[in-house]
Amino acid sequence: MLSAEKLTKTYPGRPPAHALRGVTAAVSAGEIVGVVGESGSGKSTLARIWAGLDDATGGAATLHQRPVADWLARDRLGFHRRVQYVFQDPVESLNPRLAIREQLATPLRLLRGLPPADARDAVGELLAQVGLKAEHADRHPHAFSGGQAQRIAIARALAARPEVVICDEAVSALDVSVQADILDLLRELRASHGLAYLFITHDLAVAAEFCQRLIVLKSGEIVEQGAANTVLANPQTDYTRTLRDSVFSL
Amino acid sequence: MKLVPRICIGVLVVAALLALFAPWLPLPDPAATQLDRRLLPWFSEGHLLGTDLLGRDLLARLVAGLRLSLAAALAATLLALTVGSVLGIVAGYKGGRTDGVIMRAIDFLMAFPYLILALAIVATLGPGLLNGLAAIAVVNIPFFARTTRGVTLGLARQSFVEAARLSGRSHLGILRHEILPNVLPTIIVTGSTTFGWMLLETAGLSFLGLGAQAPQADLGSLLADGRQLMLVAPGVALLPGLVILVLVLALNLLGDHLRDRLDPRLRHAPAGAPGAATTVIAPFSTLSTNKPLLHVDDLRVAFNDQPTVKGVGFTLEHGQTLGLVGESGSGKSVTALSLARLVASPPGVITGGAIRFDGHDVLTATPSQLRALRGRRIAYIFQNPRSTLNPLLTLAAQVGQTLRAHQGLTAAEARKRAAALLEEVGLAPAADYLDRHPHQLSGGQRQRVVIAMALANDADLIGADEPTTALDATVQKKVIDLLLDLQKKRGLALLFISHDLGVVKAVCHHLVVLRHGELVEAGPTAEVLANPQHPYAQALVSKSPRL
Repeated sequence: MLSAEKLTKTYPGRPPAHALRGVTAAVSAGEIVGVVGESGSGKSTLARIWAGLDDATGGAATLHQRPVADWLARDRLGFHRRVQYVFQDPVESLNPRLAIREQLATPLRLLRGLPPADARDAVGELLAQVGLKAEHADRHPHAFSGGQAQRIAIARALAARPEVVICDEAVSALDVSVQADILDLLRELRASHGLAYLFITHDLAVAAEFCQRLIVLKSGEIVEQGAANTVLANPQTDYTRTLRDSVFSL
Repeated sequence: MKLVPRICIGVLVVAALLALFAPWLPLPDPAATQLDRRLLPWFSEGHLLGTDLLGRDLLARLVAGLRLSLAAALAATLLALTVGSVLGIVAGYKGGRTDGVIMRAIDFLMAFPYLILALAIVATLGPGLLNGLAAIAVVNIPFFARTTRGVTLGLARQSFVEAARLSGRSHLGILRHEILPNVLPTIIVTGSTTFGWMLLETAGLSFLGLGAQAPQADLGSLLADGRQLMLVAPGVALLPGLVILVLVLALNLLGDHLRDRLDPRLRHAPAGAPGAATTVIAPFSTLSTNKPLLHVDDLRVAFNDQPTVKGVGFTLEHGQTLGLVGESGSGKSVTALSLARLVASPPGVITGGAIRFDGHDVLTATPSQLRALRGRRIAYIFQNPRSTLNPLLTLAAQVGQTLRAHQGLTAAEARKRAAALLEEVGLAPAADYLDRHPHQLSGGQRQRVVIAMALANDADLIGADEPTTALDATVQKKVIDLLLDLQKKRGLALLFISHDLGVVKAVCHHLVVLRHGELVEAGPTAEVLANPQHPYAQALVSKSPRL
C-alpha cells in the first residue's frame, strides 16, 4: 500500500545533512510496521514524507503505486482520507482555541463529506470509539489530560476512516499505564477498522509489544528489517543488538 | 476588577456616548458664529463653557471635536489593524519568499521617521481629515504586521496546524479557523494599546493644520485655535488639551489592563518572582538528630492551596538509591525539589512535615544555610540537559562557576578541577571538551556535563529527575552505568525519579510509589516489583512494556 523506493532526504547546509540515504520499504494493508532507531536516524523524516508533510529530495514515496506528490497535487483530500497521522505531543496537536467538536468535525466534513450538522452530531460517536464521552465534545483541549488529548488526536485521525495511520512517537510522551491503554485502543481499532499502522518509536520494548514487523534505521539507512520477534531475538547487526541490549526490561 | 480600569472604562463610555449622540444633544450648532458674543467666560448664559474668537459655543465644539477625533482614531486603528494583521499573518504562515517580500516592504516603511512619513503622505494627498487618518494608518501598519507575524510564525510550526491540513483544511481555512483565533488576543491587545497613540497622532496632524479643515474641527484643531488666545482666554486651549490628556491616559491604562488579562504569558505568571526558598508554614515534628543521611517525614506541599504532596515519608542512606515512581502529576518532582526547598514559592508552600538532611533541619534552615546545602551537599540532575546548561558558557566556565561559587577557587584552579571532573564522567581527553559550548555536544554528552556539575562539590545527595528520559536507549544505558559507577566510588546517595520501571529496577535499592501525591507503596525494589500490594503498583508493573 505505502511504499518507498530509494528515498533520500537532504537538508541543505554546510555540510548538508542526509536524513535519509536511499530507504526502500513498504507497509501492506492491515499490517503494523514499527520503525526504530536512535534520534537522528531518520524515523520521523520517513514518516513525514509518507504522510505528505515533507518532500523527499530523491526517490519515490507512493500510495497504491501512485507518487505522494501526485496525490497531493491532484487529489489532496483523497490522500488525507487514506493516510492519517498522530503526532508525538498530543496537546500541541490540538488547537487550544477551538472546541473539540469543531476539531473533530473538520475531517468528517472535509474528508468524509458529511453535511456540517451531521458532522457535528457524529463527533460524539467518534469520541465513544476512543473511550471518551459525547459531552466532552464541547470542551477545549486544556480541559484534558495528555492521555485523553492523545485519544482525541486518534479520534481525529480515524474520522476519515483511513487505510493507514502513521503514529510518530504517539505514546512516548505518555505515562506507562496511559501508554498501555492507548496501545490497547490502537489494537482494538485496528481489529474493528482493518487499519495498518506505521509506528515510529525509540522505545524497543513498546515496539516489541505492538509491532508485527520492524524496520531498523541508522543514520538514514535501513540496517535490518523483518518480523519483530525475529529481529529482536536474533539481530543480524551489532547496531540492532546494541539497541536491544540497552533496554532496561522489567 | 481593580479601580483604575473601572475608572478608565467609565471615562471612555462617557466619551463614546457623548460622541455617538452629539447631533441629538441640546447644544447650539458648533459652527454657528455670533460675532457679538465673542470670548464669553465660563458659565455664561446659554454657553456653559463660554465661546471662542468667533462666538461659537465651546461646549458644542468640544463635543463635536471629540466625536470627530474618536471617529478618526478608530478608523485609523481599524485600517492599520486590518491591513497590518493580514500582512503579518500571511507572511508568518507562508514564510519563505512571501515573508521576505512583505517584511522588506514593512522594513522600508519603518525606515522613515513616522511623523515625517505621515507629513509627506498628507503633503502629497493634500490636507484633510481623511487623508490625515489614511497617513496615520499607513505609518502604523508595520506595528501590527510585525507583532502578528511573530505570533503566527510560532503557531505555524505547531503540529495542530499540520493536523488541520491533514484534516482537509485549505490554507485559507487554516488561516481563518486555526491561526486567527490564536492571534486575535494579540491583535486586540495591540489595537487597544495603539488606539490612544492614534488619537494623539490624528490630533497632532490637525494641530499642524494638515488634518481637519475649518469649519470641521477635531480636538487637535481646537487646540490649535485656542493656542492663539492662550494669554487672553486660556480656557479655549486648555479644555481640548485636557480632554485629549484624559482620553489618552484612560485608553493606555485600559490597554495595559487588557494586555495583562489577555496575554497568555502574563496571565499565568504568579504575582512577583519566586522567593529564595520555598515558604514553610508547617508545625515541625522532631526527627532523630543522627542516623540516616536523609529523613523525610510526612511531607506536605500545596500549590495555591491545592495539596500536591500529601504526607510522603522515606529515608535514604549513603551509597543507596531510592526510586520515586509515579505518573505525571503524582508529586515526584515536587518531593525531590522540596529537599533543598527549591519549589517555587509562590505558588508552592510546604504545609507540613519535616526534612532532616545530615543533621540539618531543612525546613527551619536560614537562606544562607540553604545556600550552603544547595549545590554543595545536595545537587540535582534534571531531565533536559539542553535547558539546564547555559548555552553561552563553555564547559570550563559552566563547571567552573559551581566550583568558584562554593569553594572559592581561582579561575585557573577551577579550570583544572573542571578538567578532572569532565574526565571522570567520560569526556576524555578533557582538553578536547573544556572550550566547547553545549550546542557542540550530543544529548548524552550534555547530560554527562550536568552530572559533572552535580559532582563538582562532592555532594552527598543527588536528586536525579528523569535524568535519562530525553536520551536514546543506547545513551541512557551509558549514562546510567556512569551514575552507578560514580555512586560506588563516592558513596553517593541517589534519589532517582523515573517513570520507567525497567530503569528503576536496574538502579534503585528501594522504591517509593506515589499517586496523586500520596505514598501508596514502598519497599525494597525487587520485592515491590515481584509482589506489588497496592492495585496501582500492580497496574504499573503489569502495564510496563517488556522486551
